[in-house]
Amino acid sequence: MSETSHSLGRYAHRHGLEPARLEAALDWQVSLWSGDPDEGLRRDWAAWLAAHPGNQRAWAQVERLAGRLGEVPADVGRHSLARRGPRLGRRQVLGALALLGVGALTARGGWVQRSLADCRVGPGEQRRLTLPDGSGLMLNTASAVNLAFQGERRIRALPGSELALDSRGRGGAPLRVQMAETRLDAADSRIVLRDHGERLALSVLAGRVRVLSGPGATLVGGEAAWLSADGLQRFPLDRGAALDWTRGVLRADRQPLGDFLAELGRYRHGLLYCDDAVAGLVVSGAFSVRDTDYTLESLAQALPIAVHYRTPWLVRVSAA
Amino acid sequence: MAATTLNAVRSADVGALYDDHAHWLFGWLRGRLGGNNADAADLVQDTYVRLIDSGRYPPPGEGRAFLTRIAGGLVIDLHRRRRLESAYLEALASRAAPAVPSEEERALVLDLLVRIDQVLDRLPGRVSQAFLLSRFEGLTYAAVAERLGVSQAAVRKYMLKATQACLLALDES
Repeated sequence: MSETSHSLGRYAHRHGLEPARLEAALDWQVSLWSGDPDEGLRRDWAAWLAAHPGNQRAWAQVERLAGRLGEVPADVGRHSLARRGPRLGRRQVLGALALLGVGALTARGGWVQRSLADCRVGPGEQRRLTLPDGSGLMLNTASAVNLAFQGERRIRALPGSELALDSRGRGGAPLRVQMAETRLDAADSRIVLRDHGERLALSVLAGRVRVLSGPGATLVGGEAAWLSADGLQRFPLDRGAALDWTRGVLRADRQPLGDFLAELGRYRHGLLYCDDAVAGLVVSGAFSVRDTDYTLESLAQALPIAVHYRTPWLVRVSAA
Repeated sequence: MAATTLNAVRSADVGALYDDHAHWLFGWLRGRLGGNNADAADLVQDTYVRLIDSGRYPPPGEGRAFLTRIAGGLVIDLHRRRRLESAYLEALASRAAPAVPSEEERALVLDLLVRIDQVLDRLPGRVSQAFLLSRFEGLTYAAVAERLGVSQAAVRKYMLKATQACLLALDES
């Protein structure tokens, strides 16, 4: 309540009104809306209005609001506003935001600070690293990790990252990998892990991985699964598909153009998108992620599309 | 995020945020808009415009969290606008003597509906109900009080609260 009156005070100030007069004007308006024909009320209101120019200025403001509300025809207001969705309490709103992934991402913030070592690659870049224990780590486009190798052996990946980790033949304790809310231990194994937003894709190409978060599970070489707050959902491992990016290849097998461009766009700065009219065109083939302009050019030769470079960062694909 | 300090926006920072996250954000939005590319592309632009307008810039490492918070709000607003628009058109179509408002008038009314709907969403259920019953059903406070099972004094209080909220919300532009 005090917050509202505070805002009202600021509003009054912005419009050069006295807050008390504005509050009074609102009060009068609400009284006049009551629907009881009350001559005494009208007379008192008229007297208030006449008493001070400040009252008239405040009233003009409230009258303007009433006028705007009146611009919505009653039938339209009834039909559209009254059928509002179920009201959300604060708790439910927070839940809905978590569903949107906002909560999850917020909770994941703040990792970058105080890291022992950071490695980050921008859009279109990839990097191979050798970790202190000899394991091989490769980062795909627009990914970042923090590495901790003092005492513990831990890799933390930032939201949206994709990485391939090969710890085969390194022995010792398993490597702890953290991505989103998921923690897993990879021992003597080769894995690919990608953060898709609401869920992670984990492909185990060799060895054994223990998923520690959620209900927990163990995946062995040849297995793959989606990991999310809802648990673990296995899917058939496609070795080629999981490793294509490590060879700089983006492969499409009868994929809708819209989805393909969404993938290709990960390897570019800025924004790449297509009109809905062409989003359903089917793309097949192997394309380079290292020269995405060339990939777009080849697409334009194979499909009835045109590529528009509004700026180098804003690329739209439309029907030819 | 409460303890996070936000810095003033510099255009170079926005450029970097755009480079690093615009495409990721596009995919994120696309997933929430039923795969609709045009809407997703529009909202990516809107998100960055909002960011610039806010004059606040996320600290390192929190760019995506920050952007998705803005974008999530825009998705909700877009759904709201679509829902209201179709209800508005339905209301027009169901009129006995359909008068077709001009494009401009429709845009104006839709814009108002969106703002009022946003206000009502933030108010307690009874407050928004009282407001709707009074302003769009044309009920007297006595009738509203009866419908909601509260006193007339309570209805008056609800109306004051809702009207204040509308005054504040319809202020900009």
